[in-house]
Amino acid sequence: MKLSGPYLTLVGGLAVGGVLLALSSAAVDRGEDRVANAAASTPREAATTPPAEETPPSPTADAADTVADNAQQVLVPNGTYAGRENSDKASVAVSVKGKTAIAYFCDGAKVEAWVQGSADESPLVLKGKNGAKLTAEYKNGRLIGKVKAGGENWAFDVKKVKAPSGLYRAAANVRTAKVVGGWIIFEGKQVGMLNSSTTGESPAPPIDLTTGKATIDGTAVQTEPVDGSSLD
Amino acid sequence: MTAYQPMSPARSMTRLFVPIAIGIAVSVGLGVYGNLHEPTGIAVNISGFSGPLTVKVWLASAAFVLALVQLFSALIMYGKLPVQGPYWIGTLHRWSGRAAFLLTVPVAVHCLYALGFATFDTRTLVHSLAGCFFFGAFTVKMLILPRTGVPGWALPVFGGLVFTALAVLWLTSSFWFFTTIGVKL
Repeated sequence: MKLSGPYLTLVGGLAVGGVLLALSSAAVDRGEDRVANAAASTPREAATTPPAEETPPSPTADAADTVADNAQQVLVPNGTYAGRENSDKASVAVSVKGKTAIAYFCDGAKVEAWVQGSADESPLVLKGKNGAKLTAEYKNGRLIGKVKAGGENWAFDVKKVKAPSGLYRAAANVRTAKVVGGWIIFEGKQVGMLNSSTTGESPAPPIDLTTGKATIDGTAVQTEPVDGSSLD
Repeated sequence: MTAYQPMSPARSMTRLFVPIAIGIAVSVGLGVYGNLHEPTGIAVNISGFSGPLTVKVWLASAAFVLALVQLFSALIMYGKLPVQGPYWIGTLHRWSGRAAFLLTVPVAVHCLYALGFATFDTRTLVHSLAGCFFFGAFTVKMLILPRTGVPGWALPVFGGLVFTALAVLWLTSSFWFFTTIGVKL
């Protein structure tokens, strides 16, 4: 046995790893917008999003996206914009797809609101139950605006995020209650709330990003990424 | 090489210190990277599979099959099985080992880059820990091989640790996937 065999094996592994890491990094950069859209259309693999197509890079798909954007003269590029509101007490996420948008606001404790509406106007105006309302304008990759929820007004300035960050929702029957959950994930952190027909508002358990499921009251519930096209 | 050397007074455990230190550095380094790096959700993918998750599941399974080849060839080489090993058993062990290791690399890159060091539940925590441990233990085993004066039990012990770590990794990922989501490409 060559003395250098084991060293070569280690170096070989390091080399393969390094190449893959570099390719992954490139894939993340190139796939940013496509991943956000692709993630929305295949809920089961929300966290491990569909391939960013390493070889070849599918130029036709990219071109089609751009053409569609231009044709619709969409004011806000598709994707999910998420982050903290300006006083850092709550999170907000806005998902835009084509002409519609859905947004979610929650502080992870008591206040949450789902709003939706048309993305085909500027500023964006999305409305929901109990007087919840969000208005925002798009500027340089960021959505800047205000949201009224839980009787209070909040201001925000959030940027586009890529999977697994984003907005997730689940609606399920857990034991005897109908539960709707919303999660905002960004920068490795999750903020979420559950609204149960029997127990009201509560903080949500975390989503396991490899499966897209959250365990609510002992039951594993599948969450879906919200892409902005519709709320059930 | 080391397994068939005659006993010599130069064998001692201190010869293990440097390889183990390097192995620990590798394990800890991977864990720290996994924790600090913000998971991206995607990494390189291979077409033909339904997604990155199934690519990893099958690569890891292939690596595990090769690890079983590793286990049995090692047992034969050390005379633990009532079988006369063929002259190429050592070559088989080395090459199946290299192949298994190389197959685990893309899986680990994806796990670390796209998902990070996960602590959501027991399964992902054990997997993250075992993953870091596996590469450290494998490094130690590679570094021991060309090293003289290493105790005779070191190679089987680290080989066993590598195998066990990979088994734990496979059980907390591929096996979990097959039993929870199903056997599919």
